[in-house]
Amino acid sequence: MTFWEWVKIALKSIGANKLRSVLTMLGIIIGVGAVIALVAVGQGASQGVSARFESMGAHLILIRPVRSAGGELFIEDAYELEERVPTIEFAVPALTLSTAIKYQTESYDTSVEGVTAGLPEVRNHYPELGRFLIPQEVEMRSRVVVLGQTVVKELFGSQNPLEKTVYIKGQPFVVVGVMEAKGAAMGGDSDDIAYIPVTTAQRLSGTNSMSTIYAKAKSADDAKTALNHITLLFNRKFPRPDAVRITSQDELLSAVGETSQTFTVLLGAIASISLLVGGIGIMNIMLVSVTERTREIGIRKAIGAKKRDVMGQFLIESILLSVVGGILGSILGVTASRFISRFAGWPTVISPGSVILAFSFAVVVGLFFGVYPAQKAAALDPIEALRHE
Amino acid sequence: MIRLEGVSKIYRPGREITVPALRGITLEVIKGEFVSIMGSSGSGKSTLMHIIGCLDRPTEGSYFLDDNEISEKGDNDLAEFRNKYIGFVFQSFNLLPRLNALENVELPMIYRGARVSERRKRAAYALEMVGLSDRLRHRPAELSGGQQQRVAIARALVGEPSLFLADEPTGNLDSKSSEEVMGIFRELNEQGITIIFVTHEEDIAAFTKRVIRLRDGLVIEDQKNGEPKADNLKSGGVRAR
Ligand SMILES: Nc1ncnc2c1ncn2[C@@H]1O[C@H](COP(=O)(O)OP(=O)(O)OP(=O)(O)O)[C@@H](O)[C@H]1O
Ligand SMILES: [Mg+2]
Repeated sequence: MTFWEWVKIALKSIGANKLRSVLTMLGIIIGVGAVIALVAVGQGASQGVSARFESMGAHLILIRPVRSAGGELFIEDAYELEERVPTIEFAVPALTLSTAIKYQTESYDTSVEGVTAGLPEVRNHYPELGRFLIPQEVEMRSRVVVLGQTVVKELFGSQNPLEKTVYIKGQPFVVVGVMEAKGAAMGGDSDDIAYIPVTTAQRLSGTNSMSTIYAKAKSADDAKTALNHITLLFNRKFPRPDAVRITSQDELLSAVGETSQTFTVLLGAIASISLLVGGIGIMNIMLVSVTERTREIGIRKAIGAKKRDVMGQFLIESILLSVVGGILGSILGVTASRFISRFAGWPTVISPGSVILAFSFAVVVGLFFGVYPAQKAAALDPIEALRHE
Repeated sequence: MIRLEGVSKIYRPGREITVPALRGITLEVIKGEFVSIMGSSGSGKSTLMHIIGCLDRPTEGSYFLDDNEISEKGDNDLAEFRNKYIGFVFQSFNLLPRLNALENVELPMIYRGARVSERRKRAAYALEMVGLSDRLRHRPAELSGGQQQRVAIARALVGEPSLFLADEPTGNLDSKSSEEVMGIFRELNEQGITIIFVTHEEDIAAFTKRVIRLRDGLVIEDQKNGEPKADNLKSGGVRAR
């Protein structure tokens, strides 16, 4: 007896009870579909998070002074980092003021960051209109400002802000550029910002100490070395090791990546439970089917079917149920993922791995839960089976 | 062909209950014989047929089918004997309702591992032998009782068995269909196939050369038609006790 004949026989008996077969498969269909769709949502979320982190600046290292521990940072520290740490490409000192920007009658509270010309490279954030600050302006303590999109919207509406004069802490500043829109990121709106030369910011705030130094490593590998190097450098500078807080975007990224990985696995595991329940559904129906078809089994055995013939017949039937369920479930899962991205706006990533995994899991479930009913059928005594009504 | 030595079958439907269906049957049937088994209801005819047909094993005693000791064989060996050497026809036809006549007749060949073309041919031929060439695609529900029984006979024949067994094959049939079936049996026997069948009706039993009567699980009479009982007992082919 060839394999295809087995399949034909199984298809025939599945087809004889269409509604029941479909309902049985529904468990597997929903299970496989749920695994694929939920894993797609999970992976979509984790890729979205990674993308956002990268948009904040790849291989970014943040250095912040902890004043209570005696930490203080100056512009020179940034230049020193750039010079002495070979794995650092740029270092930009930043002095942040929370203050209002005024234009004519409008006033808007935002964070005004005093920075140097290297900021766009470091933060991966470039001007869209006009230009960014230039080194001469930093040197000259010029009163120029580059605005973020949110600030532009609040102060200017749809007007062109270039060459206009705004007031910060009563001082006039000329708008020389507008940053590109970056959208909301972790920890707030990255467009709600205005950049001025760091030297100007020092004068405005009356302090020389920086709020942050942004450093950019040359690569992800370099980021690790750079981190150690920077830590060493500052540990020598300050008596207390906790005087500065150094955080690496890459570290954060991998931590977040791990979290979202766990999240994805969890979603997949929850969905797998429904797949398991689907498998129990198959077992249930196969047991009913064995009881119902006791007479058929008796007849087949009476004319010479061996144990493995009967076993094979029922096993292939349950595997077929799960395979067809698996195929339909994969289609459902992929469709559902597309639907979720389109209508809920969540990014989803369908990986072939999750489809293959869900599908093979379904087949294994069908096999596993089919064995017991098939064994039960194969063990029937022919005479007793024939006597069964 | 077959030889039973002190075969008994005791059913145990409950813990304390035992039902002796056969109580020591010794009997021999040689190749080419045409035998009918008679007896009142519950006398053990079906039980005996099941043992002869390798569907069941005796509780005690031994059963030889062509020198094979059946009572010692495993389930799979019995299945193979049923498939290769025995054609069994039941009172209630026992066809698979979802398969048509041709597919029903093909079944034993499927389990034997025959190729599709081969078993199609043989199934069609077997149906031709029972006069059903024009009903190949009919399902059992679309056939009369007599036609269904002929499909069952074709299924029993398709594997070219050396032993053909039938348990009340005409029990559910009218007299015309019964005669057709018996006509087929006679033809088969003339081709040299050994046939044993159970019947309740004397005139059906009259078709055969030898009649074995059972009562309460024992052979009470074993006679060849037209010959005296005593003669029969001596004739070697038959022994009863
Ligand atoms: N599975 C079983 N469990 C218990 N007792 C059984 C079983 N099968 C048969 N018997 C008993 O064995 C005895 C013989 O049964 P059997 O079916 O062989 O009779 P029979 O001669 O074929 O009768 P009938 O002419 O009604 O078909 C009966 O008393 C019956 O009740
Ligand atoms: Mg009977």
